[in-house]
Amino acid sequence: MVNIKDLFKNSKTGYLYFYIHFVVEIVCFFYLSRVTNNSAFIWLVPFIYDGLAFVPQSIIGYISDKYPKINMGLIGVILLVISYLLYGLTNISVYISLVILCLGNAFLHVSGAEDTLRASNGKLSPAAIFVSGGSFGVVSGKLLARTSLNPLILIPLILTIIPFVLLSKTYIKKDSNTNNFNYVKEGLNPNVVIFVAVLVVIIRGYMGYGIPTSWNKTTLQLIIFFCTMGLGKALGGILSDLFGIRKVAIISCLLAIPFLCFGDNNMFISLIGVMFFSMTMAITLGILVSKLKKKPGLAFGLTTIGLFLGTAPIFFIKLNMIGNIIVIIVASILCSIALGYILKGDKK
Amino acid sequence: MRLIYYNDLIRNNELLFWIYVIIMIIIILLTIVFVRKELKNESK
Repeated sequence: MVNIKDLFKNSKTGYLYFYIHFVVEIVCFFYLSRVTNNSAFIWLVPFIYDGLAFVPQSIIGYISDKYPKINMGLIGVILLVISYLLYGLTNISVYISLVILCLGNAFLHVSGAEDTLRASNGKLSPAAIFVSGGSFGVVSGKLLARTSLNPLILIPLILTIIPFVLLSKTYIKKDSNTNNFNYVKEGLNPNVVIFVAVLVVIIRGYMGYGIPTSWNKTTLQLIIFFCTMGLGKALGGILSDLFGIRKVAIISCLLAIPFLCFGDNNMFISLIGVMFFSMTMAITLGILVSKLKKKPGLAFGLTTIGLFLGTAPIFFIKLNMIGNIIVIIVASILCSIALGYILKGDKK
Repeated sequence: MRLIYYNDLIRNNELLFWIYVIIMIIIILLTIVFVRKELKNESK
C-alpha cells in the first residue's frame, strides 16, 4: 500500500496548482456573476464561457505536449490580466473580454494538468488536488461578485499566480513524464477506452446539474456545497492512490446513488452523495492519460470537452425531479459498469 | 422535459450562436484527429 506521508510529500505541484486554480476560478466567476447581473447575458455568457474555457484545452494541451518549453501558465496569466483591463477600463463589447478570459482560463488549466501529471510519477493525487481548487474558487468568485469590489482590484490577485507557475516548473525535470500511468486493462481497444472514458465524463457532467438540492438556500450552505465538491475531487485521486482506482471508481459511483436521490431536503445526506459523485473526476483523467501517455495535455483536454458536452444540454433542456433521479440512478450504474470494465484490477 | 431558452437563443443571437457552434465542432473534430494520430503513435 502507498505510504500516505510520501503521497502528500510528492504532491507539491498539486498544492501550487490548487492555489492557481482557486484564483483562476475566483477571477472567472467574479466576472461571470457580475456580467450576468445584466439579464440580457444571463444564459448566453455562461454558455459561451463553458465552451470557450473548456473545449480549446485539447488543442492547447496538444500544443503544450509538442512544445513543452512554452509556458502556458504565463500566457494564461497575461490573458486574464488583459481581459480584466478591457472589462474594467473600457466600454468594449463584453464578448471580447469574455473570449480572452476563457482562453486565459484554458491556458492555465492546461499548464496545471501538464505539471501535475508529469511530476506525479503515475499517481493521481497531484492532479486531483489541482482540480479540487476550482470548486473553492467558483464559490469565492460568486460571493465576491455580490460585493461592490472594483474588478480591477483582482488584477494583483491574478499576478500572484506568477510565482506559483514558475515554482511549479522547477519540479518538472527532463525525464518527467506520464509513462507510469497504467490504469487500464491490457488488450482493450484504445479507441473504445477513450470513447467510454469521455462518455463517463459527459454523463457525470450532465448529472452534476441534475442533483436535487432543495436544501441549498443560504450562502453558508452554498459554500459548504462547493467545498464538499472540491473535497470529493481531491479525495478521488488520493483514495485511488491509497486503495486502488478500480475500487474507488465503482464504490463511489454506486454509493453516490442513494445519497443523491434522497438528499433533496437533507443537506448532510446530499453532501455525502456530492462528495462520492465528485470522486470520478481524477479517475477518468487517469484512464485517458493511461492511453495517451505521450500527450497528457491532450488527454486532459478530452475531459474538458466531455464536461462541455455534458453541460451543454442543460442550457436547452430541463428535466423534472423524477427525470433527474432516473438519470442519476441509471447513469451511475452504467458509469460504474463502464469503469469496472476498463480499469485494471487493483494491486493487493 | 421542457426546452428552455430556445426561442431567445435563435431569435436574438443567431449568427453568434452558429459561429460558436461551428468553432466548437471544428475544435472537437481536430481533437479526434489528434487523438487517433497519437493512439497510432503509441501503439508503435
